[in-house]
Amino acid sequence: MIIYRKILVLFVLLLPLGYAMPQSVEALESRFNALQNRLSYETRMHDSLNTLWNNRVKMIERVKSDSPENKTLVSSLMSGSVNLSKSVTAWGNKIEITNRECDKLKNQLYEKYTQMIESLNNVKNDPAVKKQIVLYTEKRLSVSPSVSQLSVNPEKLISLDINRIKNSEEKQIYTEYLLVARQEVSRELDRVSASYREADNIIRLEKKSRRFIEETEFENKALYSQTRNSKSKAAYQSGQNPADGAPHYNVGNAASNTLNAQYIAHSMVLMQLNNQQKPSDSGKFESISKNNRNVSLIEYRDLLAKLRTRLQDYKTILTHKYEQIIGK
Amino acid sequence: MRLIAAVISLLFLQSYVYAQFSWNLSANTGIVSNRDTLGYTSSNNFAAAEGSLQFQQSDTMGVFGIGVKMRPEVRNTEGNKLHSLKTKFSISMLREKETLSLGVMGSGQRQVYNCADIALDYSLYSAMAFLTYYIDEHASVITEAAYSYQSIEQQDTKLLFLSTGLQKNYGESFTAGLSLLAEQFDCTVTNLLGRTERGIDLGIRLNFEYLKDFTVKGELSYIFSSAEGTRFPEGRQCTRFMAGKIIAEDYSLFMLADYTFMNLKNSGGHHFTYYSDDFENNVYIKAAYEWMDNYSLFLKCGFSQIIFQNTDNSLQSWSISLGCELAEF
Repeated sequence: MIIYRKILVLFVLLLPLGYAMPQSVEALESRFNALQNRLSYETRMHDSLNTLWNNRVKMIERVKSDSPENKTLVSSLMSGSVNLSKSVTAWGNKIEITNRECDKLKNQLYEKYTQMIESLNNVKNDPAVKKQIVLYTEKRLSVSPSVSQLSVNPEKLISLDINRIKNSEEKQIYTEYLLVARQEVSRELDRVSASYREADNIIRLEKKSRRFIEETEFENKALYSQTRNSKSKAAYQSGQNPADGAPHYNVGNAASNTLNAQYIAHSMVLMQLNNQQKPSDSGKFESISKNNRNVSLIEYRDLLAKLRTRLQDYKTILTHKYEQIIGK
Repeated sequence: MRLIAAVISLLFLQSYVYAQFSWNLSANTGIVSNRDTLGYTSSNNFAAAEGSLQFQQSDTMGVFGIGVKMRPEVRNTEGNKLHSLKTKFSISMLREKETLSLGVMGSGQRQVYNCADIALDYSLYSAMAFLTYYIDEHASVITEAAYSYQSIEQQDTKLLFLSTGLQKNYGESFTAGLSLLAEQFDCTVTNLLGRTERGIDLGIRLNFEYLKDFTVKGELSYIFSSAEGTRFPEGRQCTRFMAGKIIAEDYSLFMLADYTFMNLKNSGGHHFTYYSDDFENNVYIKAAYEWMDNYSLFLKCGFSQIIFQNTDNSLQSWSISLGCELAEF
């Protein structure tokens, strides 16, 4: 009887696994479309409330300057604008949440499309299949990680000599160029820094938790429990864990494809900033871009660290040149 | 270090692309308080050091690793000093090709305890192999086999362990799996009353892991044992739970808990000589502060309850210790 009860308990425990099974592409696409619609609605709401709030602020300023004695009107306008400002923030938060969900779905769809393209590639002689490959490639492009090449031209930026500016028209053009470039580099730097922090945090957390279990067992446990735990230890020691520095080859990590795509995209930006025709680790880059092997989280973090340093260098140069040109 | 890495790679493995040494050193001191169900209490203080060194090298096909770990400790109980030394050596190799990966590992561990009237020497040797087949990007089947020989005082145990199971990723950060376990044990008591007990454990294990902003790992095993003098199934449930988080960059908090629930009513008073899991319920907590790169201070607390099968007596222990650690993270 106890056995049956245990089996029943086990089934109950296993049920959630069934619900968490991966969804079909159609289901993901329809969820993605619904989210996009939600995002567009939330953005519209946010923008119109923001306009209202801006108008309200202007109105308060006007009332303050035109009739400063009418404090009742000012305070009622201000209390209304506080609520308005709260609504703007709330809609902004909603947009952020929806954006995060969209990014997550984009990653899932990216993986699905990659799988489909790979399986279709095996039978690509069929014209109908070719059409499908093109369709899925287009779809994959639409959900690719949003890392694009910078519009900064490194060569032009380095060779930009402030002393050679001849007239105010040239000065205006260069000022705008430097301002836009600095904003773009700053945005990219923020994005790369956030990704670096996230990857670094996961790596540190994984290493610390593994070390904690190992030291606790070594310190406190009797010998008997060793065999059962040996698998995980062997796997870790052999570097099978995705957070380890070792390379991985088509291993079963759901995030691998997305990570590979992000690695490639960031490598391209680094290449551009380094003014190189091909990446410095071209062998690794090639094998990752052909999907022959998956990039490890440590490799990805190290690339982000390099990119972050390079972007910081560019930001410094841009700021310096901008200040020079303004002071001229 | 680089020179040694180069020599090892030249001697053992060629054309490797990535090599690294990793190591850590730590020391801690604290107190332990014990109390058993008969009312006997004792407390002692201790000081321990721990160090490990690992070398890992990888090429286009896989990874090779070798490691050594040591822990000397001294305990002061009512004027008696107990010295102990734990040493562990391990070697492992992983090869991967397309959808398959094969790992082999060997390890040896020795624990020596010495005080005025006791001298104990424990040893454990194990060899294991595992094969992973990646069904797709989300799922893999892991099969493993292990052999272990343990010698503790006057008791020698041989274990043969087999398991197979499915591991599945759900999204980027969550993994769950289900495995079937089987273990044959052969335990010989080598004193004058020497006897041998053979038996088998069969079981099922559910595990999960989440790793992102924080980490949570859990294991739930249902094990059914059978040995001479017992009626099958003799069941027990073992649970393990681990959680951890890095807080505000420099602080971290980790917790590990094990709990075993037993039902011995089928055995009619017979007690197994051997149990493959620890007969210990425990909770360990570690809070650490990384006050400079690779250097941290920590506080550890622990509670454990050991149940002695032959007497139905149990021993409860509390411990608290402070320490420092030098390690790469």
